[in-house]
Amino acid sequence: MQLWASVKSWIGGFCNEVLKVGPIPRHIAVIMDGNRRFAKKKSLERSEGHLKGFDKLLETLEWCQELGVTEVTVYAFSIENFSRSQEEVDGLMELARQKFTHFMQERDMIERNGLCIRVIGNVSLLPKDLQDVISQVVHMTKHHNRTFLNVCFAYTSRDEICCAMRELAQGVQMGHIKESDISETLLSQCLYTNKSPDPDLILRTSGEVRLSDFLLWQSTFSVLSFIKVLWPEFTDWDLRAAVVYYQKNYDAIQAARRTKELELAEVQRQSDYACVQKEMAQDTACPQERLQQYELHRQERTRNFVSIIDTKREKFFDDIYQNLPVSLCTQSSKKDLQSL
Amino acid sequence: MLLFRVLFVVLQFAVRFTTSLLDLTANIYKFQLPLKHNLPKLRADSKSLKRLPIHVGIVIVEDEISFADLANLLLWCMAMGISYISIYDVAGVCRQNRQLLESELQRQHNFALGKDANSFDVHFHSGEWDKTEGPRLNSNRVDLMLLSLADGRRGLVTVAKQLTRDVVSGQRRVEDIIPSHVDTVIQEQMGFPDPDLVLKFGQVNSLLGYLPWQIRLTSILSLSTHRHITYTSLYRSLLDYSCVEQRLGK
Repeated sequence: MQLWASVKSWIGGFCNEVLKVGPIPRHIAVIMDGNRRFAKKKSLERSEGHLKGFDKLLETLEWCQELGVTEVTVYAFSIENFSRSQEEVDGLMELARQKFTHFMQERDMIERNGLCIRVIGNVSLLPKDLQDVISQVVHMTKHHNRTFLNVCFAYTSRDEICCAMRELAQGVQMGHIKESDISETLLSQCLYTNKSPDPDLILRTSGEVRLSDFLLWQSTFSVLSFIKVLWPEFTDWDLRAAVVYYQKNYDAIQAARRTKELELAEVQRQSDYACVQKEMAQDTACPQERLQQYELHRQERTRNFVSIIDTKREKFFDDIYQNLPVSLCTQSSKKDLQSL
Repeated sequence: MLLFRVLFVVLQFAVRFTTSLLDLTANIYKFQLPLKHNLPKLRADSKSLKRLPIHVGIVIVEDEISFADLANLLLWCMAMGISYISIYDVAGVCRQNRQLLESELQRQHNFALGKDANSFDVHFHSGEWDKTEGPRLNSNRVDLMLLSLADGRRGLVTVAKQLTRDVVSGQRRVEDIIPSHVDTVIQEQMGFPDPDLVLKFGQVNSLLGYLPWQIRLTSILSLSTHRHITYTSLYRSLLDYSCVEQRLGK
């Protein structure tokens, strides 16, 4: 038995090396679907299914590391999930509390891997004690920079996009930026995920073929892989198959991303030029110089603005960490949820 | 390591080989089934489905677009009673060739349905809803939206700018920028409901920028190509869709 296990792991390692000759996704995002169906199938308690799902996540992180994937984003809990039965929601919150506490005890593993854990979503919707644990984990790992785990908790993509829009509107209102500075790039930088590159591969288990409000903005140029297997039954071979799938799509996706980048640059140039022209009405200075100057100023403005947002978000966790509750984003999503 | 490299090349070859083999079998299958389609059969099929998408998105991730096949596909969708259809490709070829698509659709329509040519009331849109257009009264009406990259993330940037202007001018409060309100603004601009189903044609498995906000709950189904598409493939996709259960977070 032991021999078989070591042979299997050797074969796996060998296959990883073969795959690594080609492009490896830097960032994989996973919708871990199928915990409850798994529990039903094996006639287990629902909570047992969720627990198995969490164990699978830890395993998957290891497999990703062996393959050279440096960033993993997982969809742990959607804002929509609050509409499940109270019992199940409580169960999931309790599980999250245990598991984040579990991370606190795995200090050695986390430090060895340089693992930075980020929690993405409207954390202020969560129970206070869970917020406390989350802020501890975030605080403990925030200086690590070799591998990243983003946990989307109390998250939906539409909520995230609206949060970014609120930041932008506020930024213009307070004079940090101009309305014309709002661009795709700047909106991306206002999202919770502004520290991460867009995911290269989106993986959804259990045969569902929808994104269910997960990283809608970020995944526009990602490879989508919908696989049949239930999340607790996901294996390292499924992951390798997904990487092969990614490699097959790689060239076409890169070409499309390049097209997109050119388009972005073009739109930005046009916008800058229009702004300069407005300013230049009476001025006779050299248009090229003015344009370059404008571009520099715009970049500085947006950089400062983004750093204000970053500081605010860091402060949110720091404040909880020091037991001073403050709101991260304008607290309207809860209201929206109730109106649904 | 040379060994790894060699094996990687073998792997790549194997993957390509199986994909093209699958493609080939799909084509042979199509060749064997030259269906003669007529309206009553399509309508009967459509009635037999448990549910029909209201808005179907057609996303083409292939380099060459065949307008004859696309028009065929549109016609079948219309005949089955789908009233909103959007078409997207990353380069915006469909949008740039609106006239070509319109005339091809007209031709196919006359050819397939004879001179019963008034059966559909087709309205074309390029990205935005024409505000001057009246409400949908005719049940035979079909709205076709031609989309490009500009309607994706960039469309959301336009919305963000508009909301910002509203906030600065005091017409809207910052706290009111929440999903339900933003969705209303977007729906008003587009005039289309969110797509229920996306049919993606081509070997690339990505939507390459198709309406990010709207695809929240959209079922995404892949077909290998839109060229020589048969009614059977469309029907099978719709059948797949009608069996999917929506859980909405539950």
